[in-house]
Order: sequence, then C-alpha cells, then structure tokens
Amino acid sequence: MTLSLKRRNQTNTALWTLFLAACLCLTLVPFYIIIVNSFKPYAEISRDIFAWPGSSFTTYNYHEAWRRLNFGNSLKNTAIISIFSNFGGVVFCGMTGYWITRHPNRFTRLCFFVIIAFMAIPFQALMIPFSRLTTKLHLSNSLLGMVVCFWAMTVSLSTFIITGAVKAVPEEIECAAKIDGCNAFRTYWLIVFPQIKGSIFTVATINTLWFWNDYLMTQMVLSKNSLRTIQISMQSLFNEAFFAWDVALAALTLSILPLFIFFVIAQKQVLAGASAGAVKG
Amino acid sequence: MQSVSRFKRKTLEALDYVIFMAPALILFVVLCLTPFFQQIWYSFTNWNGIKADYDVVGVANYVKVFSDTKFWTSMWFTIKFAFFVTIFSNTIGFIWAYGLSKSIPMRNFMRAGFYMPKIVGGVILGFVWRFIFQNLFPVIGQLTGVDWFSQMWFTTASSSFWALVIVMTWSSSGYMMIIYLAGLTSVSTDYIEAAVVDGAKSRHILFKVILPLIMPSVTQGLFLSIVNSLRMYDLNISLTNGNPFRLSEAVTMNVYQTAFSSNQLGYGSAKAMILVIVIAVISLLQVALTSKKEVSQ
Repeated sequence: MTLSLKRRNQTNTALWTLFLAACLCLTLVPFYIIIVNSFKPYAEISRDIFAWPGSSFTTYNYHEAWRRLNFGNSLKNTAIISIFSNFGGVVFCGMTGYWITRHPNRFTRLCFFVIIAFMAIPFQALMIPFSRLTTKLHLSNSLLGMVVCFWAMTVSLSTFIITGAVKAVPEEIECAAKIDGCNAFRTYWLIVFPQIKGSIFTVATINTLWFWNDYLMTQMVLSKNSLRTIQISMQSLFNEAFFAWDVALAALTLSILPLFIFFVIAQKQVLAGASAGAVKG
Repeated sequence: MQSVSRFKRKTLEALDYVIFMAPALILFVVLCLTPFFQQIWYSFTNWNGIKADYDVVGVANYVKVFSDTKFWTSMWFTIKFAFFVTIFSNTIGFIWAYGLSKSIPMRNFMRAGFYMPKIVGGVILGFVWRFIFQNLFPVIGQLTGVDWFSQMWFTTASSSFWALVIVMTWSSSGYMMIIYLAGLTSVSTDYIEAAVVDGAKSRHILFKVILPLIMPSVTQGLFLSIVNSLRMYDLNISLTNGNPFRLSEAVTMNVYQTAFSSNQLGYGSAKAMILVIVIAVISLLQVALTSKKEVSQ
C-alpha cells in the first residue's frame, strides 16, 4: 500500500518536473531568439530564425548598436540614477520609518497614514502638474534632479517596508543604548540599522529594478539627448527612420544584460522583494 | 537650572525629529502631495498649460469626459485588458507555484527562470515582443499550420489587444508565481496529511484544503495584476503605440495625448482623475470580494 503510494508520488513528481521544464523552455524562448539573432546579419535572421549564428557570426550589430544608442553614455546615466536614487529609500526612508515606529504620537501617525495611503495613488494622478513642477524647481534636465524625484517617489513604499521591519526589532537594546548616553542618530545607525539590513536590501532591490526600467517619469524629467537613459535611447532608436532589426536586437540584448547580471547576483533579494514589496510592483 | 536642562532636552528632541523625518517628509510633500492636489485642482479648470491665466469651470471637464466616446473606448479597452491579464497570469502563476511546491529537482533554478521575464521592463519589453510577433510567430505559423500565429499582428484592433494581453501575461506570470509560492509554503503540512488520511483525492485537497488556506495570496495576486494592468503605459507605446487608428490605446496613453499633445491640461487632468477613481473602485471591490473568502489557519 505505502509502496504503491510512494511510486504514485514519484511518477507524479516526474510528471510535474517535465511539465514545468517545458513551461520554462517556452517562457525563455523570446530570450533565446533575441540573443541568437543579434549575432546574425539580417538576411540570416529571415532565413532561419532558430539557427545558431554559425559561419555568419558577426558582432557588427553590437558595434553599430553601441554607437547608435550612444550606449556608453546611456548606461552611465542609468547607472548613476539607479545608484544614487537608492540613497533616498535606504537612508531617508529608513530613518523616517524607524522614527515613526518608535515615536507613536498624533503627528507621526498622521504622517504614516498619509504616506501609506499614497501607495494607492498611481503616478498618473500627479503626472500632469509634475512635469511643470520639476521645471520650476530646476530638477528637469539634470541627473541630480532625476535622483531627487525618485527619492520622493519611493517614500511611500520604502517607508512602508521599513516600518514593518522595525516593528520586529526588540526595543530593549535601544533603551539600554539610550541609558548609556547614545543619541538617537547613533542608536539608529549602530544598533537598529544592522538588524533591519534584510529589509533594507529588499527596498534597494525593488527600487533598483524600478529606477532602471522607469520610462514614463524619466522622459518627463530628462529631455536632453546627453542625459538619455537606456529606456529613452531605446525608444528613440525604434522611432528612427533607418530602423533595422539586426541592430535593434543587439541593442535589446545590451539593454537587458545589466539587469540580467543584477538579477543573477541579487536573485535571493529580488525574489524576496517580489513578495515583500508586493504592494506596489 | 533644571528648566535650562529641560529646554535643552526639548531642543535636542525637536532636532531629532528634523533629522529623522524632515528629508523624506519634505520630498514627499513637495513632489508627491503637491502635484496630486494640483492635478485635482486643474481638473476643475480650463487651463491649456501655456497661457498664464485660466478659468475655473467646475465640473464641466468631467461632464465633457462623459460624452467623449474615444475616452470610453480606451477605458473599456483597458478594463478588458486588465481582466484577461489577471485571469491568465494568476492561473499560470498558481499552476507553476503549485508544481514548484512539490519536491522537484532544480526548484530554485526554475523559480528564478520563471521570474526572468519580469526584469525586462519599460519599453524594452514591448520592443522584444514586436520582434517575436513580426518575425517568430509567422515562422511558427508555417511550421504548425496554425493560422492564428501567422496573422498580421498590430493591423487590427483585436490582434493588437491580444498581443498586449500575451506580453503582459508573459511578463507577470512569474511574479504571480512568487506570490502564490509564498502562500503555499506557509500552508502547514498537517492539514494536507490529515486530508490524505481521511482519504481525500488530490483534486479535493487542492480545491477544498489548499485553496481556501491561501486566499490571502489570491487577494494579493489579483490586486497586483489588476492595478498594474490598469496602469499600463510603457508596454502600450512600445508594442502597439495605439495602432491601428488609436484603437489599442489604453487610458494612460489617451490622457497623455490630451494633456501634452493637444495641450488640454485641465481636461487631461479630469480624465486622469477618472482613471484613478476607476482603479480604486475596481481594486477595492476585488479586495472586498476575495478577502471575505479568507479563512484563518
């Protein structure tokens, strides 16, 4: 009886494994197609879309894509924005989230309520005045300005995740530190921050993916050619008159690559973040 | 003497409030709250964004929206889009998560692989799939003889619609899988063992034991995919760009067009506020409906 049950379980698992493997292959087909064909001249792409590059292997598409996208510059801009924008979620929102949790009074509760309620408000609800506001505040057409905008936009989600994390940290150690004469700033950075590092990482990975992929807000703030991010130079490449798929495929591969590397390195945090910060997406 | 030290302590405490709260709070008020309330205000005016002066027109913009058939076409388009994406991505995500919750080999690798599409974001997602639809699908159509694949994508309203649904489902199914996986791993094996001992079939265990226990994840998964697909913009402009004849235009694109291309900031604001209200109503209704079905473990 148990033996047959066990065997049934085994075939069951084997079937599931096969099924999921098939699904996974199907899901990853677009990646395969894009990458393989980015190494071929256009004539080869239309001849056999599935084939390996073989004798017609070329990196010409990559040289051309790099030049046309001004990829070095776009990559630099995107990286600067993504890295420095994280400062907002990690430092400012971390401190705010901590203070709100540890000092519950009328004022902090009101702040918390407004900040959390704002998570439900999509960017569309403020985008029309937003583009004029950034011009007025001299935030537009500057990388620092873009960074400041992201600092503001991430307040809701980041503060929300951090408050949840701080609640799980026992308060006794902080009290002891206070008695020993440690001020609030040092208490936070030396005692609390190390204990909520996990959530800080979560915040940072969610934000990084968002900053890197953002298009709607970025194109409102940055319109100068020299300040283009990868997303924006991609959009203009596809709107060009002399558009060619072979070069475009190389450009797409180049654009996906940095995030792919990020995903491989920070995989655990990204997947943890996907369910933790699920409120926004 | 004592009052001096009290004064000093109060000042220090106020300083702490500034250090901890001010940066995030100021940014939030200036760049999030201000434009939000400004947009509500604009929606009651006839401002064109260029002239310095404008008139308050009350609810005239909202009345105008109600007779704007183009807007309601895109609203209906967006809602239909969100409906199908939600059904498909949650079903697929749940099936994958259910499979992965068993002890199969290379679980972590598969989990990461299924999530991969989600990291391709913004306009890049749409461009990748433009190639797939225009170059790969015709080949598949020829190989399999299924005409559906070889149709001219982006030339009819319905093919553009389904193209958007397919891509959004591809992108978000792995995300939904992660949500359901979190729910499934929290289900205690005691319940399942008890059901097995009682002689329940695996089909019954799934629908009568597991599903009710992971209802919180269902609520969350549905909510996320509804909200995300109602807000779609990047994919819309990169994949179909509204073609053909602005028939595959989701609401955000319509709002953008009105506010920035035809310079009707007031009218565009009213449209945007209606979108926000629709998102709020639909998602609240969904949460109310599904969270009623939640049981405690």
